Amino acid sequence: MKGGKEGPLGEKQAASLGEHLEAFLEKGRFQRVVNVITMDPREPGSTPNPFDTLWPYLRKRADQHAAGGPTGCDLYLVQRKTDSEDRWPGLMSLIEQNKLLPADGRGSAIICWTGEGLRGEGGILDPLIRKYRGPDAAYSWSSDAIERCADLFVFYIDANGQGVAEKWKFDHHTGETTLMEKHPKD
Amino acid sequence: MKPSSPFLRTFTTLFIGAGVLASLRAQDPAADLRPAVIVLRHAEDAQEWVDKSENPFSGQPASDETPGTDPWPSRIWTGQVPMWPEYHHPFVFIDHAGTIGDAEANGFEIALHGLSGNWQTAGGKKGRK
Repeated sequence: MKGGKEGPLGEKQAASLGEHLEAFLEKGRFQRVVNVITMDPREPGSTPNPFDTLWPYLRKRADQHAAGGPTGCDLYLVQRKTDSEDRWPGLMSLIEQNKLLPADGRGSAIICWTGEGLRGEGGILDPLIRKYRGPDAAYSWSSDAIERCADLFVFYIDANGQGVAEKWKFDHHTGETTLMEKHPKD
Repeated sequence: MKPSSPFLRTFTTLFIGAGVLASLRAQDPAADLRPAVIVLRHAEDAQEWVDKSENPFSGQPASDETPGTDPWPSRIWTGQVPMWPEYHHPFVFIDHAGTIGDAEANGFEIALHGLSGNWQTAGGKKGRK
């Protein structure tokens, strides 16, 4: 466990994300999150960390909704293929079938995943990069950046109809976000 | 009064229609926002939340409160559960085949409700009734 006397690092990161995630979306002019997708924490051998990372954000959304605010978001718990440690074909098929986002274009999606599950075979980033940047696209996001906690990867279609992939650094102390990479470059 | 020509009427209708559409778009700020997929790496040791009784998000470690809960303690098993019925559609699953199922049909939401009935707020801390 990291974080010293101020508390576990993960706790601070999760709290900061819960506090600042909506501001990040507003700054980027992204649609409000309607789908939240993460690993089913009940899965044998799975980790509850991704779910618990999202919890402060989910709780905030639930509180807003309970207070008469905007509609809450749906929580999707992804189940693992039972005979595999590292494969989540259900999520992969949703990526391939363009089902992560609502069909009417009114909403964004957040996927919270383990660092190991982001890269390489069976990872989430490569199929998203191919989806948004073409079948031959591949980026060597630095391993350091991916292993660093609370980094964000954002995929969207810009005003010119072009798929964009961005990597952002998120400072969980201040809530500030810094664009580290963008494909294609401006 | 001389009646207006069909061309003029059509033009006027289209002009007004375009104005109405532009006005509606201007009144809907969400129309200019773009949908995005955001991928977030999980935080380290986030499960420590459930072990910190002073934390308002925390409950008892699930391993203590739900004997036999397999495999992991998580906030999903803690006293935060009563919040979820206020959600409009609390839980759905993506199974390994890529289909989306209703949580209740899987028995999960029922299990959550069952747990929620056993919890209450006591001084900011969750415990069994």
